[in-house]
Amino acid sequence: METVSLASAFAPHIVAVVGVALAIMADAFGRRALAVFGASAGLAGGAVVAGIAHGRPAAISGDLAVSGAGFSVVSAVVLGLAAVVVIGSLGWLRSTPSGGGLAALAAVVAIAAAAIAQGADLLVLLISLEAMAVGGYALVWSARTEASTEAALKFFVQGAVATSLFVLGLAILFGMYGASTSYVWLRAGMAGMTAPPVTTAFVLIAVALAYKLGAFPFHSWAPDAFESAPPHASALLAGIPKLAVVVALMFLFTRAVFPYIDPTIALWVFGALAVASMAFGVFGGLAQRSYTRMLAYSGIAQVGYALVAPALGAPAMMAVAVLLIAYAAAAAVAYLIAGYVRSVRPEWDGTIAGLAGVGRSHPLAGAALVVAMFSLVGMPLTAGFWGKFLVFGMAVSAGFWWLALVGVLASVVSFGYYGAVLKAAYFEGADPGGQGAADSPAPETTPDVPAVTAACVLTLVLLGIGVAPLFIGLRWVATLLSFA
Amino acid sequence: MLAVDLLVAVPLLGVAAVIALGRGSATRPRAIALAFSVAFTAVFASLASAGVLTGTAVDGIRLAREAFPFWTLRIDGLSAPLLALTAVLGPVAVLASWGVREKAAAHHALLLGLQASIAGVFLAADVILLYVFWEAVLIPMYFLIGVWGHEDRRHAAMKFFIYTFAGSAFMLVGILTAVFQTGHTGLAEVLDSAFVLGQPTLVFWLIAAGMLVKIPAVPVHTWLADAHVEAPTAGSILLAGVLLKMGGYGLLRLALPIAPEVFEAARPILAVLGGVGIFYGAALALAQTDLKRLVALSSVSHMGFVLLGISAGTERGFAAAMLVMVSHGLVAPLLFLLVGQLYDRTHTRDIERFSGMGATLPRWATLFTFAALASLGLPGLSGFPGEFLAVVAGFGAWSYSIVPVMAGLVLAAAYNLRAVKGTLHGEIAEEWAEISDISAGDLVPAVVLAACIVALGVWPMFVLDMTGDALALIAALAGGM
Repeated sequence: METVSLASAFAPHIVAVVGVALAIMADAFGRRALAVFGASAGLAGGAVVAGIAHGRPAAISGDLAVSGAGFSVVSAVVLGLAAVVVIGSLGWLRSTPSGGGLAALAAVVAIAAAAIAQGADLLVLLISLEAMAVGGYALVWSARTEASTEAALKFFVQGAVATSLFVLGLAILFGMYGASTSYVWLRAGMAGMTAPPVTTAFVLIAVALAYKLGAFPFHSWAPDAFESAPPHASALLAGIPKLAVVVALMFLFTRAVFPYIDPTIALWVFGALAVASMAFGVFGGLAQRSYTRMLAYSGIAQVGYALVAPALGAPAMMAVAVLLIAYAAAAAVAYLIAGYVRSVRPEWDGTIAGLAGVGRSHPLAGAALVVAMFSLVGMPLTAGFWGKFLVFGMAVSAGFWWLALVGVLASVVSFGYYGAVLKAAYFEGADPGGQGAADSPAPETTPDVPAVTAACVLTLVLLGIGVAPLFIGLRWVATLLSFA
Repeated sequence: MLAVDLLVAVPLLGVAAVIALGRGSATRPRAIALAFSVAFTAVFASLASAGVLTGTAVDGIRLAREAFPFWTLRIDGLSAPLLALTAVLGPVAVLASWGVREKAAAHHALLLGLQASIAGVFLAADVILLYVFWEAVLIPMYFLIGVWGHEDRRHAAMKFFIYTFAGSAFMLVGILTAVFQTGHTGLAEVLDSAFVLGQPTLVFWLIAAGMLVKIPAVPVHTWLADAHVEAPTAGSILLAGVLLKMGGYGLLRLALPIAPEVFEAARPILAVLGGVGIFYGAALALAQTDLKRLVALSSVSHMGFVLLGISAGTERGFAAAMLVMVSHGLVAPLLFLLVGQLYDRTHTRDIERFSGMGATLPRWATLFTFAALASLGLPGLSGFPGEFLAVVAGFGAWSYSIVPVMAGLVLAAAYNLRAVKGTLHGEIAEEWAEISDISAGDLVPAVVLAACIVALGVWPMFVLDMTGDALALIAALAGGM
C-alpha cells in the first residue's frame, strides 16, 4: 500500500468537524436551525471530500488510517447519509431544548463512524468507537422520557463492558507483539508468534464489536435504545454505526488477525453469530407490536446477514458494504417515517397496528415506507436486493450454500413483520364508512416536512441502486467498493 | 428488436401515465390502462412479422456487454405462447375491473405493473433478470389482493406473499449457486457451462422448489385457494391466467436444462406430484360450496396435467404442458370473470344459494356453461387437446400407472357439471329474481376469451407451431424423443 499524508487521510473528518464547531457556536446563540444547517453542511462537505478521495487507491497514512478507494467511499456514504438524516431532523431539533447541541452530537457520531471505517490502528478504532458511543448515549437520552433514560443507561453500561473487552484484547496484542497498535506493525509483529494468544485477543475484540453491532447474544441494549430514542436519532444510530463497525471488523480481521489464527475458528465464531442473530432477530421481530422496537429486532437480523461476510473472509468485504449501505439508508427511512407519523398523528401509540391507513392518508410517507420495507426484506428493484444477492452469492461461491439458505429463509420470515407494516399502512382502515381516520375531526398538526422529505430522497436512492444495475451491471460497485 | 423491449416498457409507461393523468378520477385510469394494454397486444402482434408465431427467436436490444448489464430480453418458442396469453389477458383484466372506482388509478397502475413484470419473466434471457421479474410480480399482486380483495383479503395477501416468497428463496439460492459457480448470468451462458456445477441435484431441487410452489404442486398449494378467492376479479384472472404458468415455464426454461440428468431422475417425483395434483385438486373442487374456491381448486387439478406432461420428459409431453398452460390460461380467467360478474350482482359465492340462474341470467348462463364444458375438457374446446396429449405422453412414459389420473378426469366432469347444475338449474331463487343479466360491456371480455378457447380447441397447432423447435431442443437435452 502506498502512503499519503495524515492530513489528507483525515480531510473529510476535518471538514465535518468545522461543521460541528459551527453548530456549537450557533447553538450558543440560540439559533437552532442554523446549528442544524451547519452540522449538516459540514457532514455534506466531508462527504464530498471523502468522495473525491475515492479515486485514489487505498493507502495507509502514518499508520493511523487508510484512505482512498472503498474506504473513502464508505466514509463518504456515512457522512452523506448522516447529512441527510440531520437535515431531516430539522423539525425535531428546532422544537427540542438544546436541539443545536444535539445536531452537533449527531455529527460527532457520524464523524466517529467515518473514522471507524477508515481507521488502521487499534487505538484509533477504540477512541472512535467511544466517541460514537458517547454521542449515541446522549442522543438516546434526548427523548427525556423515563424509558429513554433507562435505555441510555443500559446502552452505556453494556457499551462500557464492550470497551473493557476491547481494551483487554488490545492489551494482549499490544503487550505480546508490538510497540505499536497500527495494523501494519501488528501484522509484522505477529508473524511467527503462536496462535493461542492471538485467538484469545481475536475472540475478545470480536465480542466487543458484536456488542457494538447488537449481534445476538450481545443485543439486549438495542431494542430498548431504538424504541425509546427519538425516531430521528434512531434513524442515525440504527444503520450508520453498523456499516462502519462491520467494515472496520472486516479490515482488522482479514488484514491483521486472520492470517494468524485457525480459519475455522473465524468461520465458526462468525457463522454462529450470524445464524443466531438472524434467528433471534426475525423471530423476535415477529413478536413485536411496537413499530420501532420491531425495527430494532429486525436490525439484529440484519446484523446476522452482515456477519456472514467475516465468516467468508476478505472477498466478501465489498458485498457486506453494499448490504449495510442499503440497510443504513432503508433503516433511516423507516425511522424518519416514524418521526413523521408522530407529527401528523400525535395520538399514535407507536404500534404497528396504529399505522392503519397511513399509506392512504399520507401517500408520500406511504410510498417511502413501501420502498424501505421491501428493501429491508431484500426484494428486487430495491438496493436491499443487491446487498443480499452479493453476500449470499459470496457464501454459495465459498461453498456455504446452507448459510445462504438460512439467510434467505430468515428474509422470508422477516416479511412477517415488514409486511405487517405495509398491511397496516395500506390494507387496514381502508373500509369506506369504517372506523378509519375520518371518524373524528383531525386535530391541529404540523407535519414534520423535513423528515418526510429526507425519507423520500433516501427512497429514491434505494430505488436507484435497486434498478440501475439491471442496465449498467455491477462492475461500478466493485470499482467503487474495492478495498484492496 | 425494439418491440421485444417494448413489451416490458409499454405497460411501465402505462403505469406512469395512469398515475400522472388518472389521479383523482374514477373513470380516466381504466381508459388509459385499456389503451396501454391494447398497445401491448399490438406490439406483440407486430412481432408476428418477425416470425414469432412460428417459433423464431427474437432478441431485444443489446446493451453494451462490457458493462455486464443483466438486461437481456429474448422471445422464443417457449415464451411466445405465454406472452400471447399475456397479450390477451391484459385488456381482459382491465375490462374485468371496469367497475372499480375506489382508488382506480392505483388499481390500474398495479395491473399494468403486474403485466410488465410477468412479460419480463417470460422475456428475461438472464437468470438474475429472471429472478428480479419473478419477485417483482409479487409486489403488485400483494397490493391488489390486500387492498381490493374480499373480506379476508389481508390474511390472503400475506399468505400469498410468504408462500411464494419462500419458494423463491430456495430458487434464489439455486440461482446464486449457478451464477457464482459458472461465472455467468446470461441464461444461454449459464446453461452452456452448467456442467461445472458441483452439486447439480441441489441446484435443480432448489430451483424447482420455487417453480413447484408457483404451479402449485400439492403439498404447497394452499396459498392458491385463499389468494384466488380473496383477490379482486382482475387479480384472479392474472393469477390463474399467467402467474401459475411461471412455474411450468420456469421448469422448462431453467430447472430442466440446468441439470438434465437430475431432471431425468426427478421425473417419477414430478409425475407423482402431477398425478396427485390432478386427483386431489379435482376432489377438493368437488367438495366446495364456494363457487370461486371451486374454480380456484380446479386450477390445482389442471396444473397437475402440466406437471404430468413435463414428467414424461418427451417433446410430446412438453407440448402437452404448454397446451394445457395456454388453455387453462384462457378457461380459468373466463370462469373467474363470470364468477366475479355473478358476485357483483349477488354478493355471495355460495353455490347453495344460487338456483335457476339459467332463467334469470340467460346470457351469463350460456357463457358459464360454455366455460364449464371447456374446463372439463370437451373436445373441440381448448382444454381437450392439451390434457389428451398429456395423458398420451404420460401413458408413453409411465404406462398403466397413470390410470388413477383418469379418475381425476371423471371428477373434473363431476365438479364442473355440479357447478352448472347448482347455479343454473332448479327453481328460480326468489332473492335473485330481480337481478339483471350481464351487459354488453361485460360480454366483451368474456366473448374474447370464449373465441380464443374455441380457436385453440379447433386449431391447437397455433401453439404447437410456436413451441415446436424450442421444445425439441429441450427434449433433446432431457434425452427424450
